[in-house]
Amino acid sequence: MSVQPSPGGAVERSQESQLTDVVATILDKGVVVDVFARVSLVGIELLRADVRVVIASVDTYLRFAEAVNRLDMGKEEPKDLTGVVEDVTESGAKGKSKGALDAGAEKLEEFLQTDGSEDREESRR
Amino acid sequence: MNDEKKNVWVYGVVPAGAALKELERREGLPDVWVVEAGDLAAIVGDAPQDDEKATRNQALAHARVLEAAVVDAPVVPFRFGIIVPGDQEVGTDLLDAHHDDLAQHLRNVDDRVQMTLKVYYHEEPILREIVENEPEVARLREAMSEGPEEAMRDVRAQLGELVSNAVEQRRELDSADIVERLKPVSQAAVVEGLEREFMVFNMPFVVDRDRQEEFEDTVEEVAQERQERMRFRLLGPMPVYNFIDVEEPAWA
Repeated sequence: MSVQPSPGGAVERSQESQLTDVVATILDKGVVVDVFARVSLVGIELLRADVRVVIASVDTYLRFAEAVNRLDMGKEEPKDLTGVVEDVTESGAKGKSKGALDAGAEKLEEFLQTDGSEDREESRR
Repeated sequence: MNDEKKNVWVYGVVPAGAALKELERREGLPDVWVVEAGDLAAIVGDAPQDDEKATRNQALAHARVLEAAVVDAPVVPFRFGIIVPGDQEVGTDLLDAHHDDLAQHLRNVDDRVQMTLKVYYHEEPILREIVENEPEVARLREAMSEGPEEAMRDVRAQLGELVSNAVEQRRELDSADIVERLKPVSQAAVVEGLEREFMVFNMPFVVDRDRQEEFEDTVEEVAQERQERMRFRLLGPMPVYNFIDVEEPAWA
């Protein structure tokens, strides 16, 4: 995949767009010439899987609470961030309801997984 | 390749005669060709098959073809999914029939590119900052570690709401701060929806083509100053998808 921080740079640049980055743009923006109907292609609804997070849902609150609760504030054993994030996601799943974000990201990931060659690291951290 | 009676996919419109070198050079793109009529030209290609994988590949192709084209010419991006019965109809029913509208769009996008900036908080530093600066968050956090899990449900929701509000406050301040820095090197921007909880903002900027480098340098500078707390991703240049109807984009 072509995400390279420019040499010594703090900004990540992709030379080409990734699916998660282009979907909203190309589906909803751009010129439509009305004599030609837009085709509805198979899978377009899946492309539309809304990855935007619903902020301030109860589920988000619980995830935030879990995250700060697990935060090492210098008193406990250090724990790296990746671990924290994964734990949060897992405990979220355990509580049945998943964040809108998670659900969206997963749909998109499943979609992407239909072709193993596709770049997937943008869909989630 | 120009099979007259085959559906063609329309990517976008460029000025006739544009030398689209990057589009020819860049690898991994689908076959595309140009249909010209008068002073306009459409970038077209084969329509994809109607299955999920083809649709997904076409979504990437659509964006990438237009990104390659905009390197060398102004591009009016077409929305995903516009299909025309054949090359002939692209000339007559699309370019000729809609000449004035398309020419106006082309003037609107002339000399401009879109650069989309996505900024995310690093989770741990931002949460740490919140615990350190919000006494009530720190207090509830302590309380949570003491009680039995079942009894703590309300406390947890309350704590989460406070954290959420604190993230939102920081998001507003940091967004305003970053945008202020980028205003002098851009013509306008719009706010797009957030993609995840720890996202600071998601904003397409419209930038003068001649000042793209200046914009990039400024983003780099802003990112370096904030790299302890935030991660910056810059996409583009791409066609000005978000500004095709705007004659003179300008900051309010």
